[in-house]
Formats: sequence, structure tokens, C-alpha cells
Amino acid sequence: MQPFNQLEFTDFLMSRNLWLKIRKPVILVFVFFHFYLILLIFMRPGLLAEKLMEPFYRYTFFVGIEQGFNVFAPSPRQNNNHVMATITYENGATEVATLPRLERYPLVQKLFRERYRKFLSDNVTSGLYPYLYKDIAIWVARKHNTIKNNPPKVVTILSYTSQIPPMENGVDPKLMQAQVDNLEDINEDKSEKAKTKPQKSAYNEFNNPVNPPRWKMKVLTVQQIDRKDLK
Amino acid sequence: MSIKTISRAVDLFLFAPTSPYPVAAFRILFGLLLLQHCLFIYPDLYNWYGAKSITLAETVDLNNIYVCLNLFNFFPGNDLWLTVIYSVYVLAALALTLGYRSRIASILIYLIFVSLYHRNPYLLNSGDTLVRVMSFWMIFAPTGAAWSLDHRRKVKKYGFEFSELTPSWGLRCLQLQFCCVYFHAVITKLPGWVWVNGTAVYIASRIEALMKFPLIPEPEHLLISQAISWMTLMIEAALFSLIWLRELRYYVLALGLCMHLTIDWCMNIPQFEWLMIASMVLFVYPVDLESALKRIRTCCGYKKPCAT
Repeated sequence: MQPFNQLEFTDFLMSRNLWLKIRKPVILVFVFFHFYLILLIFMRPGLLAEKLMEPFYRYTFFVGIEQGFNVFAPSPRQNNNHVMATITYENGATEVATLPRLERYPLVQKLFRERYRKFLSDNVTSGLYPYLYKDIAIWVARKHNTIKNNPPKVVTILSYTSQIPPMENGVDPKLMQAQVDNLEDINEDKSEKAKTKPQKSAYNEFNNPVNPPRWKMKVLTVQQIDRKDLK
Repeated sequence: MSIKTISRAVDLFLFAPTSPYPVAAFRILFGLLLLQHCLFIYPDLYNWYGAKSITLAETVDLNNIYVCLNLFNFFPGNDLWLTVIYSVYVLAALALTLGYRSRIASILIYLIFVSLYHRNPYLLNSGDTLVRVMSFWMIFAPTGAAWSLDHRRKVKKYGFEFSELTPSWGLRCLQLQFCCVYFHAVITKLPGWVWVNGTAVYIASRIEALMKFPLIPEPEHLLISQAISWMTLMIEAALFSLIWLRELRYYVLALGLCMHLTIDWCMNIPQFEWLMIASMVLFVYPVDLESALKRIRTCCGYKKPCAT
């Protein structure tokens, strides 16, 4: 049976007879070429793949067949990140604003706002795209320009990163107890502790530091806001 | 093996007439997921893509070194144009679901997705990437050849009920793209030491922004984490290799379905899992799709009209 759709579509472009003659080689080249490009994209950043890809970069970018499905590869990221902003208003007042954090939304909202996770937690905190910070700061300022005659003057964008504890800490009860003891030590008054308890080692039996700092805060940008940015 | 044999095999693989049912079923599911996507991006449309969005078009363009296919460039920084594009997107998604002017709808969806990608690539997750590349291949697939308004129109025109056979290359491209997803997922995971020692699932389950419901059994225990991590790798490997074996296809698909439903249960990656599940229909044999449809029709009390 004749494939109607293919013929009707190509009738626009050329005569039916010509199309039926060249159809198979054209399609074959088209399919092989595109899957060849996709394989090269997957092999990047290999040296050979980069070299072979070079003449086709513009094409793959233009048509948008660039792709990557390396979710959690080569390993899932081992930290939780979020972005915060501090806003200083014209009268000197300050406000801390948390940009959308998915873990704080109810289930349905999470579906709608998932792209904030990709944007803020994955891309902005990665430090790979510093040119995005200014736009984010201005966007935050615009969102907080709610008080009459007191617009935001300075916006500081900060990223907060906390490490996911390695698995051993979760499964080894001995190590967990060591962590708890260590925390207790920190919370107690040092002078009191010196009298009552012997000093513990800062390293566990595996020679890893006990309760090392597992978080980091980084200033991404400090942006001065003009009145025209707020319009 | 001779070149002739290979050429015959390629010819059979890409050009043998085949039933359009798998592509038609995928078109409907894909269209429904696109409508869901329209709904998901609607509340923050202007925050993400508008003239005063979180990433300005000028910033993105400054860092793009190549020319790109981007409909937003016709009227840059214009929210009305964004509204027009969004409205066309909704209509095209609806048209694709119903199979009305399927080819044009596929082209529009592809153009809009590529434009969204070039407008703000920093927002997009794997689900968006998959929609973009699938919509590219959908342009060449016989999307309107069955279960569509396009097909109903042809039936009306010719005056009798028929089902057309289509060349299989459109379906094959979609199937190969499906396999590419798992191929890339596996080859990029293999060098990761956490996948080798089996703690990857434990770490992934601790990413707060992705958390949804707790995984049962809990991956805090090394053995459980190892079992799930390695099983994930094996299922993903099977989904691009063993799926081509007739005897194993449905078992592999069943395993894939379980894997994606589990990920969807415990992780908030809104559309990716459902897209992969929808894509699995491309591997269902047309005979089985037809018998499933017959069963659904019987359940709904539909009777085929008698030929006169």
C-alpha cells in the first residue's frame, strides 16, 4: 500500500517520480548522519569526538539535537545547594530572601517549579555561569520592589552548599555515636569539659576527621541596583 | 556476511512497510505529556522566558557563539510574542494529541521546543531535552496515519475503512533515540565510583530538592543501596540492547516500567519518567496494540459498523 503521508509531504518539494527514486538513499544518509552526530555528542569531551564533531557544531546547535542524559553520572552530586539573596533597601534596611527551594514546596507545587531546581541548585551554584548572577540579582530586586519610595539598592546573591554525609556515617553505629559525642563536646562549655572529660581525638578510627565542617556559603555577586533596572 | 546481506537488513529495518499503530499510540501519549508541560510552565512563563525574566535574552545571546533556531529572536524581549508562541504551543500540542494536521503540529512543537531551549538553556532538565529531540524525530514519523483526525478525514474521502502501512524509518528513528537515552545514561555512569561501589542510590536519595516519597526498602543500608544501584545499571543496559530481542522485549519493558515508576515515586523529576514510559509503547508489537484496543472497545461496548 502507498504511504500517503510521505508522498503528500514530498509532493510539495519535487516530483513524485524523482522522490521515489532518491527516497531510500536520502533517508539512509539523513538517518545515519544524525545518529552519527548523536553518538559523537555522547563521546564528548573525547579528543577524537571533538575533532570529528568540529565541522558539525553549528548544525547540531542550530537544530537543537544536542543532548545528554547523564543524570547522576558519573556520580550523583554529593551536596545539597540552594541560593539566597540579601537585599539592602535605599533606607538601609536589609532583608534575607530565599529563592525558590523545591524541598520547601508542597507536592503539587514541586511539579510546577521543578525548573527552579535545575536553574538555581544545579546551574547557578555550579559556578560555571557567572554571567547569570547579574540578571538574577536584578530579578530579585524587581520582585522585592514593593515598598513605595524605598527601592532595593544592593542585592547580594549567596549560594549555600551542604555535603551529603557519606554512607558509612549512616550505617556504622559506632561512628554515629562518635559523631554524637563530638557534637556534645562542641555544645558543652569548653572550660567545663576540660575539667570533667578527657580530650578526644579529632580523627576517628578510619583516620577521617570527626564531624568536619560540611557546609559552605559563597557570595556569588554583589549587585548595585539602578532605578531603571526596576522598571 | 556480505555487503548485500547488510544492505538488505538495513533496507528491511528502515523501509519495510509497517503498522502505524506504535507511532500513533506514542503520538497520543506524547501529546498529552506536552499538554501537561504547557500546564507546568504556565505559572512561571514570564519569570523564565519573559522580557524581564530571571535570565535575560541578551545575556543568553551574548554567550551563544553560534546562530540558533530561535523564534524568540523575531521580536526579542516582547512578552506579547511570548504569549503568541505559548498559545501556538498549546494548540499544536492539542492538535498533535488528536492527530489533526499532525505533521504541521509536529513541526510547530519542534520549533517551539528548540526556541525554548535556545532562549533559556539553563532551566531545562533531561525531560525537556528528551521532548526536544523526540519532537525532532516526530516530524519524520507517520504520526497521523492511524487513530487520528487526519486518518478519519482520509477514510471519509475514500469512502471505506482502511489502515495504511507506512515505511518504518520514522518509527525506527524514535526507537533508536529511545535507546540512545539509556546508552548515554549507562556509558556515563560506568566511570563513576559510586555506581561501582553501589552507594549511588543512597546519595541520589539524599538530594533534598529531588525528594518526593521515601524509597522502600530504604537505601541507607549498603546491601540495599548496592542492589538498587546495580539493578538500575542492568535495566538501563537492557533497555538499549536486549530490548531488540523479540523473546525478551516485553520482560525488558516490564523491568523498565518498574524502574521508572519507582524513580517517579521517590524523585521529583516531573516529566522524564513518564516520557520514557510513553516511549516504551514504540516497542510494543502492533498486533498487541490492536488486540489491546479491541479489548478496550469491547469493554466500552463499541461495535464495528458493518460493511454495506
